[in-house]
Amino acid sequence: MRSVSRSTGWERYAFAAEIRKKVGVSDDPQVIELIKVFERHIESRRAVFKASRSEDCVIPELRQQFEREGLSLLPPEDKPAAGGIFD
Amino acid sequence: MSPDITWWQVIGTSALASAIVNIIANVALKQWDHRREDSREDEKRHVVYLDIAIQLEEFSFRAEKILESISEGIAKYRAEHDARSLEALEGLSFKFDESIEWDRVPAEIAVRAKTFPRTFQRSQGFIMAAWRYWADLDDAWEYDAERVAFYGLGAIRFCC
Repeated sequence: MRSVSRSTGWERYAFAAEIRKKVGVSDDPQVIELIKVFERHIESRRAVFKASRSEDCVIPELRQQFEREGLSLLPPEDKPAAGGIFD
Repeated sequence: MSPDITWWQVIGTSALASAIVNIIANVALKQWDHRREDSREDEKRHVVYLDIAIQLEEFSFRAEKILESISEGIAKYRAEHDARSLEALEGLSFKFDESIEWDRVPAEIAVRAKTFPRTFQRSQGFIMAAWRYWADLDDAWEYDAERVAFYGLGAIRFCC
């Protein structure tokens, strides 16, 4: 595998460029719409996470992504009290 | 011919010249061969890239359809409290074709691509645990919808 040692930026670029050509990302409305569908869903879950900030309100992958974006879990003392009948 | 130059010198000089020409021609030929071989390899590698891309793209389109069914199922379940709307849903799985010639693409890309289906598969663990210990049926499917959207987007972004 000769190219392993050359696996640098341009390889990734070549990959992306080839794929772009294949899926025609810039002008394929189906792919653009596909991306929007996923992004809209994730956006709606971001709103849920923002409102609740509880560890298990979204899957770990999304929580990590939101945290990387600057949304973090509230420290325990700031969390709204759980108002159950046994409190 | 000058008397100072012997036949031996003439023969020697032309043999040297011919050897130099031969060496240069050989080097040029080898370089040309290498370049041709490189471009053939590039072409083959790009075909593998396309194989990977097509399969990831297909996964993303399937993910979109499943996301839509899950969303509809959850809405129906919440409106009618009928678990059948969720029980009938199909899950999403992903595996690359065995025909992909992984050794043709750089290790970095092969590792990234090959890890993707495994990570996707493993991510189901959280949902199974949630469903088992604390999540309601619709919440478990809500997690699954997140997973489908997250990896569906990841797959299409892997390509672009």
